[in-house]
Parts: sequence; structure tokens; C-alpha cells
Amino acid sequence: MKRCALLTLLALAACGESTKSISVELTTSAVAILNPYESANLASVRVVVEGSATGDDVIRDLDLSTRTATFEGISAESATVDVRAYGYDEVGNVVAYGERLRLDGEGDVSVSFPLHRNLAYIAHYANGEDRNDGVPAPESVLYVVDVVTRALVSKYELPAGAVARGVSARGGKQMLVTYEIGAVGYLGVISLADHGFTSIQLDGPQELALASEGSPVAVIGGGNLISFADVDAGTNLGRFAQGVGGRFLDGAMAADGDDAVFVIDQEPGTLFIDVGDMDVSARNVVAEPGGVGLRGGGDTVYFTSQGSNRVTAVELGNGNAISYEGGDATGNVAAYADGLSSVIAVRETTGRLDRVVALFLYLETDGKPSVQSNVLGDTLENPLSAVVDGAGTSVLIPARGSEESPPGLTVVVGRAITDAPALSTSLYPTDPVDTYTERDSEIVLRRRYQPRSAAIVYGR
Amino acid sequence: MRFAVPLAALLTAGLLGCSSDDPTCAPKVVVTELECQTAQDCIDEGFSNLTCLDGRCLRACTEDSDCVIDRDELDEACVNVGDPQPQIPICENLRCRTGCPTNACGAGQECVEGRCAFHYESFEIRDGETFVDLTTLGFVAPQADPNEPNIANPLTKIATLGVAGCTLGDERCAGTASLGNNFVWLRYRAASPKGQADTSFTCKACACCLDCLANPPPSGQNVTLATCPGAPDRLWSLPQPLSCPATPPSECSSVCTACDACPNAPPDTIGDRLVSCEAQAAGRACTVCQDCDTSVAMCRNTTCGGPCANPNSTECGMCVDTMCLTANVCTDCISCGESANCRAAMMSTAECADFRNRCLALGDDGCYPTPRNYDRAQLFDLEQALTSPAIDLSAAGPMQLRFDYVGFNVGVTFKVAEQGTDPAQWETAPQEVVVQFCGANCGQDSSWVDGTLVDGSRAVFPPTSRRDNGLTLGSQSTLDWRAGRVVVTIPDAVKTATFRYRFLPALSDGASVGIDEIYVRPAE
Repeated sequence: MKRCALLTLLALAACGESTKSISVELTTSAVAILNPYESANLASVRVVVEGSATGDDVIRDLDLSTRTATFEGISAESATVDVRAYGYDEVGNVVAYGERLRLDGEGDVSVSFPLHRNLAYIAHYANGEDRNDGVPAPESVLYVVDVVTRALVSKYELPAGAVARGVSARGGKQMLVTYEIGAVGYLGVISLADHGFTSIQLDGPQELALASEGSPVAVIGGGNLISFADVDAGTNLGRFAQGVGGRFLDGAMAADGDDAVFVIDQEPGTLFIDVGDMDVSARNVVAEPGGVGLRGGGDTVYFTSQGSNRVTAVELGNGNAISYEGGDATGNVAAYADGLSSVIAVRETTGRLDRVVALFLYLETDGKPSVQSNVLGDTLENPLSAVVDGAGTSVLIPARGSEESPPGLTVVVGRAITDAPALSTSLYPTDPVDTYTERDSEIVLRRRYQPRSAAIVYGR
Repeated sequence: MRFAVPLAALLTAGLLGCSSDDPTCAPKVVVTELECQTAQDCIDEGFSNLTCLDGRCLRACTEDSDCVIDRDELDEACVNVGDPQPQIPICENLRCRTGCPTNACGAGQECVEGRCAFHYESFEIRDGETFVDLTTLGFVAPQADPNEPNIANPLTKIATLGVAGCTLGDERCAGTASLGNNFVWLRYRAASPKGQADTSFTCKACACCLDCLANPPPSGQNVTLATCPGAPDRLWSLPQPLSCPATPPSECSSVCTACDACPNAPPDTIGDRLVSCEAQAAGRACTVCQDCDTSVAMCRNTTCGGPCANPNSTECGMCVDTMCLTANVCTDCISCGESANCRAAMMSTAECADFRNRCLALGDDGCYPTPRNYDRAQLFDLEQALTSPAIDLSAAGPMQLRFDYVGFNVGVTFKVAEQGTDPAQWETAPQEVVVQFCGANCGQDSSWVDGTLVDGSRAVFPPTSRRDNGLTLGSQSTLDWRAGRVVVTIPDAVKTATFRYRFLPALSDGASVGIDEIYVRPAE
């Protein structure tokens, strides 16, 4: 349907275009640290409605005492509508975020979703020497870290004896953590509404769970198997019949929860999961895949390669793949930063710290898919993963460190490829139970916590 | 059903330059009063670069650069048609706005990059200048104590980005600033435990007594004039004890009793930063050096009588040095101290041999230097802090101080060095930088009050949650600056014609803070 032109505005009321309204309510967590109105440097909240039809987007700024907004005049041509809420600090950093994506329906729509503080939950490696010092072991403690400042905000203790492995976000609803106690594996579910904890026993210890708010079904990889669980019902749905070997390096799930992918370190390197059918297929989409990033709100994933200069984009819905090739596009752990229109990856670099690169994907004038690679800066030793926040503007890369090098956090922030993305690497947040020790006649801070896996609320 | 857009709004947009004849090539704007329900309404009017924000066609932003219209936003046919954006807007409250000078600033304010401010400092080199330092920018602390000269904090400096490839880590190669090339690198100068000693000469017995009290010998090993000062296994050096024993050990009794027999020194030469045993030694003179003093006084009046008609002249000083202090008795006065210096430096020159022989010949009548006072090593807060120039806020309304900072590995606590106190007794204090304000009498520390952040808390930074970040000077990035903006409310009581702000550091040796982009501006 053709829209009404403003120059014909006098006749506008009679032009007959069909519209709908979107009513938005922002809720908050009962957990104070997640409530940006209580605990972040929140200066303003912006609600953005984007319909699928061209030009069908509108923005409303809310003062901090207002939690609702109604948007009139959204074209009925928009089959789906995405609603996002951004909380900004004084400087314009995204300190809070919430979203409800792919709203459909022809009539007026009311939607409610939580605006959460932009926090990362980070699991840690075991540190056996501290087990009997009366302080919870690092492997059973999650750090909750502010993405903007990289400051330690709080800690979340898993059940006693838990050894956490992988953390992931199920939108703004839950954080999922795979862990084991002894030889028994579990999927832990942390509610972001109240920090309540439930667990689902798995068939064995596993590495990483993937779930989306669009579906209750989580896919869990690791321990030589792919298993499924209904997170809402708290039940183990079973496993894919065939064993799946290799170490699970990375994973992503489409926003609707219908499809998921894992990257493993065995040929062919990528596993595609049809969640509804609980089916798994292995594909070779790129040589020696290093990591995978998911485009925000969509179902396009990007695989980086450790062994070639290619980045392959795959649409999970139909499996279509495009391979982008560039001069120096190799990369390990990866995340797709929508704000930068780039894949952020880490490249191993001989003789120095690994480097963070932005891989900008584009089509040349002749239609050839290409990659432009930009080095952004260094991480600390042993970077583990790259996770992007819900807004798609901040990428967090934790590094485990080594005997000689402390653990650290790298963050990359940018909003458009035309702006130079900014990178900052700092040491991992200190903890009150960290101790000072003497090494080579120097007093050094011995950091108890070494990050193992991270996820950002609403992030990917 | 869509709502109509008022005609008045459309006309307003037209006044801003959106020509309906050729809207594509008309000057682009990022601020309009055009009403809208969705961005399509803006697109329909030729504002394809705007969105619909709070019912108006505007451009949303998070920083000023978002408000700059790039050439690539224009249709190809329009790229060379005039200035794409006649007014440079700014990003305020997440939306582009027209800044100054288009919107004029109030009295007493300057326009800085589109924003009005009573004071702005980014530590950059001014137009026409080739050099910048804190003094030329007016960051000079008012006199703290009229009776003592100010001691500057030499560690706080203007740091600069540095040339490409320079070795990061000092103020000449300090990495990214918040904006521009420079920022101020704020550090804390700790007091040395004692400070720089000013010496006079005391008799051998008193030198031995002080040395014995400062370096107690093993129990039962009595110190005698024959072997002191120093010990068979220890060369003598100027003792600078942080404390004196309440009860002198019996091993020192002999020499300390002998010290009581030495002549008194003039009382006004004994300073007030001495511990008791230092004061005891400084309170006694050495006969040989007294003889030297007498000889010099005579020489000054006779041999140097001409040049010393003006006793403070350079010529008088040179004459005394060359003609008077070379007298045997004066060489004897310094011989024991100089001989000890020679031994400490393992020098065996003829001059050292002469000093040694002279000292041996003096025996128990030898003279040794002893501290008679110490320079002040403890900075007043006013000297420690980075203090702004005076700013006239007498006619200002609600005001705020806004700045960006980066903490370089600031820890949680540190030991505060206190001059003249045993380091073991130094107190632990939080590491922090306090933002303080003053309205009048800013040379007195009592005139300064702590600022408060907009949330009402005390204006200190970095927050405790952001310590030990491992950042070193030069490793900071734009992100680190963006994560560290501070806004401090300026209280009405200090809004005078001589308002000043200061950053008062309390930091450990390895910690520092970078500060940049300081605004004193109307509160929003």
C-alpha cells in the first residue's frame, strides 16, 4: 500500500492507510544489580520500534520515571516489528538493554520486556590450591561484570562443588550455565527476574548450552554428545543418537530458536542442529572453523576460519551460504557486532599477544564477496571467546592469562564501520579474596579468578 | 489510521532549508521541528537522513560525530552542490542540536566546540604557541604558607600523545587523550621519610652518641671515642634516625656522657624537624669548627673586606670561599666528615689522604657533620593538588564541573608517607582523587570543600570497583576515556569571582590518573 505523502496532508485523514499501534512496557528485575534504574549510571532510556516495512521506525526517549510508551501509526505493512530499549549513561555508553523481536500480528500489539543492566556473567577455571581456604572455589562462582566499565558488580555462587564450564544467555530471561558435580553434568538456569536457580540433569558433563527466548528448547553440546532440554519445563528431552566428538569451541542459535550451530575442533568442524527435529548434521562450510557469530535478531551466522582467509555466512533457515574472502581474514573466537557491521575475531599472532580484528564483509562492485580486515589491538594471553551484547555495540573478550601474564578483559565498542572501533584491554577485575604474593622478590597480586566462559545479558 | 502532520510544522522545516524545489540537493539538516509519527514521514519530506524521535524529525546520536552529515549521505548528483551542512550541530541528550555560536552563549561564557562553558581546558597547545605547560595555563597553586616557599608537585604534568612509534610510558609518549593530543597526568608526590638534611658540625662525642643511638651496637659492645663514629664493620655516614630510643642503651653511655661536655651551639640553628637525639647532637658545637668560624669572620672583615662591603654579594661569597675557608683550621673542621666520605666512596686521592691524616691528628677533637634541620618534604594539599586558575562564576546559575578521566592501575589503599615518622607506623589510606572547590582564600586548605557527584556522593574517583585495572600510561584507549566521565555539582557557596577547582590525589607510587576535557558549564 502506498503511503500518504505529507504534501497531500490535508487529505491524509482520508487516505485510508492501515496502521497499528505498539504499546511498550519496560519492566525491571527484582535483582538490584540488574535493575538499571537502581544500579547503573543511567541517564536516559530510548525505545526504538522498527517495523519490517521501509521507513517504519520510530524512536521515543523516556524520562527515568516513565516505563511505558505507545507508538501509533506503525504501518500494517510491517509483518513483524522489533522493539528495543537502550539505556544510556551520561556519555552515551549503552549501560542497559532490552528487546522483544519479531512481534507479529495485524492488530495493535502490547509488549512487555525487562530492561536489564548491560552485564556479563563469567565462569572461571578451577583453582585447586584454594579449595580449602573457606572461600567458594572459583569454578563454582560466576562473576557479574559491567560491560562498559569492566568492573566487578557482584558474584553468583553455583551449588557447592559445581565446576562451571560454559555460560550463555537466553535473551533477557535467563543465563544458562553448564556445570558438573563429580561426574554428573547439569544445565543450570539462572532467572534474570530474581536470580532464582534451577537445574536440569544432563546425560553427562557438557560444554555449552544454546537457547533463545523464541523457544523453550535448549541445545547442549559437549561431552561427545548433543542433547536437548526444555528450559521452561525443566526437563531433559534426550540426546541426538549419534555421538559427536571433538572439543566445542563456539555456538550460536537463531533468534526464533529453530536452528543452532556449534563449532568443534574436529572435521568437518561445524554442526547444524534442527532443534524441532532434534537432528544434527555436520557440514564443511569453512576450513578449520574458529568461531561463529550471530547477527542480532536474525538467523545469519558467520563462521571465521583459523586456516584460511575466508568468512562464511550461513542463513540458518535455509542453509544458504556465502563465502567472503579477504587478504587476511583468519580468526579464532568470533562474534558479530551489528553496530560495526563486522565480525570481531581474534587472530593468533606469533611472538606477541593475540590480536583482535574486525572483519568487515562487503560485496565488491562486481558482486564478489570480500573481507576487509582491520586490526583493532591486543588481548591478553589465551583469549577464550568473544561475546556481543544485545545492542550489538560492545564485544567482550575474556582472556585466561598464563603463569606469566594475568587474566584480562578486552572490550571493543563501535557503532558503524565508518567510525574507528575502539578497543581497550585491562586486567581482570580484582576480588577481595585475591592475595598478594612474592615472586622474584617482587610483591605481585595473585588473581584467584581466571575466566573460562562469558555471556552478556541479551547477548550472543 | 495515520494522523495528519500540521502544516505549521511543515513550514518550519522549510525555513530550515529543505527546499521543496530540490529537496535532495538542499542543505541537509539534522534538526527540524517537523512533526512525524514514523521515519517515513521524514523521508517523505526529503529528510531521509533523519528519524522520527519524540514526534519530530531529528537525528539521534551518542556523540557529536553522529551529527555530521557525510558526503556519502548525499545523492551523487548533489555531492558538489554547496555545503552539505551549513551549521555544525552537537549531540546533547542523545539527539543532535544546534550548538553555539549559532545559539549564543550567556555572559562570561565561551563557545567550545559548539558548547557554552565558563571554563574549558583540554591542555592543548594554544593557537600561535609552540609550547604548553600547567603554569602558562594558570594551574598554579596559591601560596599555601606565607612563611615557606611553595613546593611544587613535579610529578603532575601535561602528557602528550607522542610521535608515531615512540616508547609509551612517560609524559612525552602518553597515548590517546580524550580529545586532541594532550591531557594532564596527575600523580602523588609522597613525602620522603626524612627529607633533605641541612647540616652543621658537632663534636666527635656527640657524633658518636647520635651514631650509637641510631645504630645500636651489639649488646655489651660499648662504644668508645677511639673507634667511633662508625664501627669496625660499618662505615660511618650521616645518621638520620626516624626515632630515638626512650632510654639510651648502656653501650652508648660513655660517648653520650662525653657529648654533654661539648660546647653549646647557638640555639637558633637547631631546626624543628629533628628527633630528640638529632637535636642533642645539633645542640653541641665542635671547637675546631668554632675556631674556623672565628677565622672566617676575621678574614671576611680583613682580606675580603672590600668585596664583603656588601656581604650578600657574589664577589663576597667567592672571596670567602677562596681566601677564608682554605685556612688550615677550616680544612681541619671538615676533615673527619670528608674522610668518611672518601672511605664510603672508596677514593684514595691525595686529598682524601690529607683529610684522613688531619682527622687522625685531631683525635677526640674531630668534628663531624650532623643534621640541624630538614627541608619540608611533606606537601600541603594545595601543593599536592592540581589547582585551576580562578574562574569568575559570580553571575552563574546552577553549575557543574565535567571532565573525563582514566585511572592507571589505581589500587585500593596505600601507605601514606609522613615525614619524620617511622615507615612502620605510616597509616593506610584509600587511594583516590578528590574533586574540591574553593570560592575565596584559596591559599588556605581549610577553604576547600569536597564536591559531590550528581547522585549526592562525595566526588572521588576512580570508584572502588574500578581499581587495579592494569592500565599503564599509554595503553589507554578512547573507550577508557568514555567510561570515565565525571560530573560534579558546583555548590552555590563557592560560585564567586575567584572560584577554583582542584584535583587532590592520594595515590601510591605506581598509580596515576589522566584527566582531560574539563568543562565548568551550566548544569543541564
